[in-house]
Amino acid sequence: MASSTSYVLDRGSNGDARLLRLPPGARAPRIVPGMDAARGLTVDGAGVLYAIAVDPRYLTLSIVTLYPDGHRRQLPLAGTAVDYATSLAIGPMAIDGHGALYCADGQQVLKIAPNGHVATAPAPLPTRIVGSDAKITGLAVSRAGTLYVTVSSMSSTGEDQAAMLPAGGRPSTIATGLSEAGGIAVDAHGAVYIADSGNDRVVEALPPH
Amino acid sequence: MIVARTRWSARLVMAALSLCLIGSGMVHASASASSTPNTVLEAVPYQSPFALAVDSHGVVYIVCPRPR
Repeated sequence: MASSTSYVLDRGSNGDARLLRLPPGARAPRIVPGMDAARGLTVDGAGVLYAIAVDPRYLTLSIVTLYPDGHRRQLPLAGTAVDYATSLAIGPMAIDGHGALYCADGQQVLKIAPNGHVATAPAPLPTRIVGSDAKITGLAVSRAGTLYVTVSSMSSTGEDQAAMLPAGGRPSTIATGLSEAGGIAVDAHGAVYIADSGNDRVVEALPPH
Repeated sequence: MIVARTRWSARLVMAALSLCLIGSGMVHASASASSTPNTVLEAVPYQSPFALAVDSHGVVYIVCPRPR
């Protein structure tokens, strides 16, 4: 989603998706064609949209770039950190102020270079934040490069939480007691917003400085 | 599906609300490796929000199911 136009990835239970575009002032979204294989999306400050596309025919993953004028570019992902067979949980995406893309893949965060090379983000999440059954369900990145994640325990008894991973620093928890944690976002002033779906609310958290 | 836009302007009012929530144990600050404690500032009710974003103007976009 962006400042003037909102984008929503609407995924069905069968894994297929449709990308909806809602311009400012519009009352109903329109479907962006050709994005039914998208798994995650993010938008940069210039309104350029990035999405991970899955092609089950050729077992490949690629990054799709959609420019505001409608021009589209697709670049295969490469690197040892990404594998179609183990990347079916790939989803939440974010982009930092330098154009580096991040994507959550199960219990890890991947960093995607402009050339499509994928590497594991430098600060892996410790098991006290992401347990063996947990899954990253939301991802955001600040201007300073700090990553923020929501983590679902994926169990009926465990609680969800949100954590931050400062660039070059130690990961820490910023909110606990969440239920069915969804998306997470960070604004220009460092305020963090968390979709606490199971508790029917949106939470604003203040990370430590 | 609904995309709601909201400005988090009534911070003082909501800060009081979040303190109530913290007191009830629904959402609480947690210990961290940092010496500065983490704080949940605000909690605003929305029905099953599952995705959100914030733009450069501080407007928060929330995606939640259409009420039945």
